[in-house]
Amino acid sequence: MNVSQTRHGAVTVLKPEGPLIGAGAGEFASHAQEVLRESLGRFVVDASAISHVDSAGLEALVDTTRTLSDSGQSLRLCGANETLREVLDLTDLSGLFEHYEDVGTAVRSFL
Amino acid sequence: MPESDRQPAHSGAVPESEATGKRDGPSSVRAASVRDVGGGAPRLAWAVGLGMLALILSVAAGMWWTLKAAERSQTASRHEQVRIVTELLTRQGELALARGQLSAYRAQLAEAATRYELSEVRLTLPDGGVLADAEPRRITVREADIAGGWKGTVTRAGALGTGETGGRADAGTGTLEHEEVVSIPGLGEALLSVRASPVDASMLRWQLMVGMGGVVLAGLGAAWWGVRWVASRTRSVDLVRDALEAAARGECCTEALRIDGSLHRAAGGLNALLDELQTLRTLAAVRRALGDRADAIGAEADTNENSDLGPHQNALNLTTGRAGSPDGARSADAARGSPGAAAQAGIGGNGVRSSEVLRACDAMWIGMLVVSQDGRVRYANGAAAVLLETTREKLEGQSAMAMLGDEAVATAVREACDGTARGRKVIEVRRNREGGTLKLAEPSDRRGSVPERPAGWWVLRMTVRAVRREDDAGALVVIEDVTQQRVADESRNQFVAHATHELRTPLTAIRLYVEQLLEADTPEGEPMTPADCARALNVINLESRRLERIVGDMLSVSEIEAGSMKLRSGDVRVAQMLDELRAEFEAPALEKGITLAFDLPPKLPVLQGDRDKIGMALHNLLGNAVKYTPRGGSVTLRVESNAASVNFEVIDTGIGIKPEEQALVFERFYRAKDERLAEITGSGLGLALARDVARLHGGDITVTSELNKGSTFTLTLPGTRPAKAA
Repeated sequence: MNVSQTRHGAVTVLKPEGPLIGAGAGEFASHAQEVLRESLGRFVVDASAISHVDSAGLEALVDTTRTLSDSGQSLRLCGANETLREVLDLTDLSGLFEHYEDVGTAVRSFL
Repeated sequence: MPESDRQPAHSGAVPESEATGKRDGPSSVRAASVRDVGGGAPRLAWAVGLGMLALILSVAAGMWWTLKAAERSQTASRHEQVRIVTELLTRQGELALARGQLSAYRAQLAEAATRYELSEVRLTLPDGGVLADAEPRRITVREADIAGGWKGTVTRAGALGTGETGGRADAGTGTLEHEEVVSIPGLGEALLSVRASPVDASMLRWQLMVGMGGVVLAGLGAAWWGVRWVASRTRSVDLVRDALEAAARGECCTEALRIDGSLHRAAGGLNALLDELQTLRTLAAVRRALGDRADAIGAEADTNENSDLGPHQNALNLTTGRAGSPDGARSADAARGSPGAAAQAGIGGNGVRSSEVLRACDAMWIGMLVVSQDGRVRYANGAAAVLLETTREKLEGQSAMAMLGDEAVATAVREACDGTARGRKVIEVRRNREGGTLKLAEPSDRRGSVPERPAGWWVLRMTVRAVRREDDAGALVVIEDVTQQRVADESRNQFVAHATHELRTPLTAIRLYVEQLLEADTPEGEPMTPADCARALNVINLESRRLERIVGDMLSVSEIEAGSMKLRSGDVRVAQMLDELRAEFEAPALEKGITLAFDLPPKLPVLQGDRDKIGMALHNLLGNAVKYTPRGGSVTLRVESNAASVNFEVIDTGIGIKPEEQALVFERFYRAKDERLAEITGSGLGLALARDVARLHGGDITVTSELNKGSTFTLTLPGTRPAKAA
């Protein structure tokens, strides 16, 4: 799956494009782990281009936030669409993430 | 192996001696519990059910007796009625026949038979002739035949007769029969016999039976429901009692004593108590186990001075030792002694709080290292491990100075441990993965915007503070990741540098020309020709407008940043707006020798939006195109409109943008890194603002560009309607 990576100051923004499902989700998870390690957890997932997720996608997101929780942080998601928010709410996983409206707000949360 | 041994409670922290001590108890009690839950109603329920059944039966018997008594009394009163009627008819017969009124008497008999529902009323002569009857056709003796009287006597039949009147009831049919002798003076004796049917009680009996049956059925239903209700209410109480009895007999396994909590509140209460008991036992077991292990480790540490548990628990004492005075004193002793003893004191004294403190430290996003007096790391939380790019296992027990990897921090930690430094010391460490240092861009580097740097760089702020007790010392190192703050600082510095430069350039020009004009006005000054004056005033005018635009851009940026930018929505007449833009850019284009062309459709739409903001966006796009197109080039504004959107394409033959920078040109304060831009001023705000405006209107701006060939910026705005008149 295509994951674009940009930097806003010292913050890395990962933007997976398309549905976060199946093998693509695993790919994204390993990419996120690598970025997490390199940036000391200073990164944001821009979810605005994720159309929908399946269980593998949820697992990828939860694994990432779980790794971050070792250092007292949680994964910062921004621009999640209605479908993704609903899935997170229904599975009771929403509380594991920090939600921001857009990339700018999420990046500023590191200040 | 008994079932109880497979329970998690036993495989967990409960000591084996407790778990296996009462092996017979648990299985038997659990079997009883299961049987009770799945079996019939409890004893109390049966007692209630039997009581209700007895009550219902006695009520039914009482009703039956009442029915019989009512029937008997009704029969007796009918008997009495028939007797009285017979007697009356006898007296009336004697009188009537003595007066020769036989016809009237016959009529009286018929009337009496009808009124009192008598089946037979007959006056019979001794020879068997019927003198009078309720049924006239049965009369056999005419009135004329008895004119002279008759002979013979009559007697009442049956042995039932007593006294003057005789009556009897036929046992088979229940028919009542009365006979009376009528003595008529001057004529003779006759026998009046009366027969009557008994009272018809069948209807009454049927009604009573139905009523009684209903009552009995309702009673049985109520008894059944009552039994069920009582059973459900008392089942859990019985189970609780059984459990308590089992506990009294010495049962210790909480799993065996547990009851289905959904049965009753009492069951829930018992289960809660059992949970607490289990927790307390587990804690006690852990405490004992840790005590044993700590002793063993303590012995080992005396020889080795390095254990897994030791530093960890010493850190606990160091951080929590001052909480309570007795505990603090114990902790101080423990810290002086072996690490194992310290572990025992730490958990034994305040076990729950210590684990809570550890959990809280791990939930922190700020790294924390506790360093002992000998400079080794006693405790590191999760964030510290991540920020120092290692693991906690590698950190704990190691030399803090080596792990922190910076001479200044190492010195501060050493001083804190030695007791030579008492205050707080804040040191910022810029690190990269190769151990290099980070060189930040100088604020004077005005062209470079915020410098791009690889992801492996970061800035850590380390705060070192001594942690001291009476005769022991240590250090607390707090580690924060402030990379983004520093980048933001840099960005702000860059902005201030940009803004200063941008504002200063027009101001300098204005001041120079104003000074020139002022000097020309003085007697000793060099006089200026009107053409020079006009040029000077023109430059001042142009530069003031540039100043105004820069200030306006900065205000808009801060408005968008603060989210307070408002759109004043209204009709935007594109034709009129483009006319104004053409008038504005014709002169600069002509001056620079650039061909400015507007490629417009015959009919331009009217948009809904903020006219000033859209005008500003197009102004910025056209301004950039003119600015970055060298002499002899061309700039074209093409407008295409359809029902869904309007596209404004600004096409230039300018210097172009590198592919890797095309996405970045919309960032605020970003200016492409191109040598040719050195001579061209710009705030780096124009495109950022234009895109923000487009997005606020629900549109966007995209760019396609080829280096040295030119760029095309496309501003797309939604929602159009055709102009009423061109």
